[in-house]
Amino acid sequence: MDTTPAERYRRVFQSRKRLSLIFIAPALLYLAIFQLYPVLYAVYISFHKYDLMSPPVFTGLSNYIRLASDEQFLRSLWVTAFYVFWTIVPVIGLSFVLGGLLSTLGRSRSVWRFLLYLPSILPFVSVALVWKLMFNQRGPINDALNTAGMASIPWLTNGAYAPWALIFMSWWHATSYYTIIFLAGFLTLPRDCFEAARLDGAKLFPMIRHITLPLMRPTIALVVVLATVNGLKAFVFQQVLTDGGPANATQILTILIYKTAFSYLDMGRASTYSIVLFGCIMLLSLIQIWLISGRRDA
Amino acid sequence: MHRSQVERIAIILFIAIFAAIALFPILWMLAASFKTDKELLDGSLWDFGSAGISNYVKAFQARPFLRYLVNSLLAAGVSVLITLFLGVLAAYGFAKMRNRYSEMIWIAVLASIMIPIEAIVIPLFLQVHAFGWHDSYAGIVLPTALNAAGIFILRQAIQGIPNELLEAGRIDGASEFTILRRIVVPLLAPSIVVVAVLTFSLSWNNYLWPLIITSTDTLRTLPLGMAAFQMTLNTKYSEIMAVSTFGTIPMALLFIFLQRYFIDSAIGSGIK
Repeated sequence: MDTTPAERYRRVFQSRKRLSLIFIAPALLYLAIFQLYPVLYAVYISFHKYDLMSPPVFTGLSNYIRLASDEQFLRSLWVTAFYVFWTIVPVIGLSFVLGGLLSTLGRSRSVWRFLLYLPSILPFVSVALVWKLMFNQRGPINDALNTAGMASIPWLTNGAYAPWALIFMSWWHATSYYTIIFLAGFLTLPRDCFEAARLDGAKLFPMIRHITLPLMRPTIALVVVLATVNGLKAFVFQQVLTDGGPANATQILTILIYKTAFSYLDMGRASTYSIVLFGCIMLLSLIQIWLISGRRDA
Repeated sequence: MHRSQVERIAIILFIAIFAAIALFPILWMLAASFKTDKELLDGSLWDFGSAGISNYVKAFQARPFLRYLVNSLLAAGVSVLITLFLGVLAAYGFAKMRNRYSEMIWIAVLASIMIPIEAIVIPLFLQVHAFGWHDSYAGIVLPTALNAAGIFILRQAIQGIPNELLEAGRIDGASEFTILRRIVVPLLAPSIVVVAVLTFSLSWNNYLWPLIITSTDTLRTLPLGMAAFQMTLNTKYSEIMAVSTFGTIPMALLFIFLQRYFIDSAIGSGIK
């Protein structure tokens, strides 16, 4: 039997290494079944022709080769890139400014933060339903345009406007969230840096350029990746407002995957699209992990 | 002094404009839910509606929204429980019982956080069919229940707990499970709430997966019920706004009571 505390400790310590497996095994098993296996399965299906009715037929790389000439896919890729780019660029700029300004406030900060965060607590479907009605031919946005002496715009029924309608509502929705992230970043900045610069008579814009931006670079990088990934994963807004239409003008990748799989029952193709989406997101996420771990080391 | 006062007012004004923009659609939705369709489309923005709660009553008569609510609460509740239970165990294993293998496995877990459900719905759908879970609560809830980002947040928090506290327990002969339950979990309370809030809101917004896996109306979760209601022919706009408002209530209540944790979970989910 172990007699001294040291011996007892050694015994416990050694069994602990094996014990760790018991602690992590349940979560690991869960992730293996519902995350890892599906990824491998998706790769498998992407090499097949599969319509759910008859067994999968192996077709090699043909699903991938067809991507290059698949007009629906290429169009969807463009629509996705357009949506993500025009959503995140203004949103990141505006959230940065709002987060920075919020951080300068004193006691009133929490009230403004509360108000600005409200769009983020609405369920996505509620957001989509409200904006769908706001973009209605007789909705408040067209009312405002008419009041300003402009003609109504067929926001959701015209392919020229529908992508912009979705981008505008995404500005409203996403700014709320990233403002909070930027605010958190701004609050960790060392105050004395700015005091010193101010005492030295630094002007506002040089100060932002030479002090704020370098210090905020990790947060900015994080938000850029996060916003891009979230943009790529968008689904609800497009599905509820336009269902990818009119004439596929808002058919982002997720909508294309959904329709190819569950309307046209072409599982092979849909899986190939999924792998492309997965690859983009994984690449961005790896950059993100690299950024986060870089920040911790710094 | 005078200049900084002007500066402050300018900043608050700027923020106030955007706060107003953030609030407008929400207040408009709330107001619209008490209007008739005629008032909603032809009336002035600022008029109060005359519909009372009739939009809510009609929507609830048309579809089983209470059932949808229960389904959503059930799904979110189970997700929170599974994430917390498996998450705390795993986070403790990864944070305090490190060895060569667990470091490697941790990288795999990190990678799995990044796997978007949007990219694996097809294989998940086939898999859940094979399990015989199609169109069942198990099929809706279980595949997306474990929020792997929660493990990350909990692991960070457990790493902050000093080893001396755990060693004291070990010297006293307490088992690792006892140490976890008696020492670690009480110290973890704030992070547990953060993970619970994060997991709840993620589950509350789940849309694509339940859409694919349900076909029975009474199994639908609230977001699906709301979207389906909207697509029904001849549904009134004001009634749609009533259910939109209804779907917001649980999140709004949580937000009012747990505001600090919401903000923390928004920041914590930055890693997701």
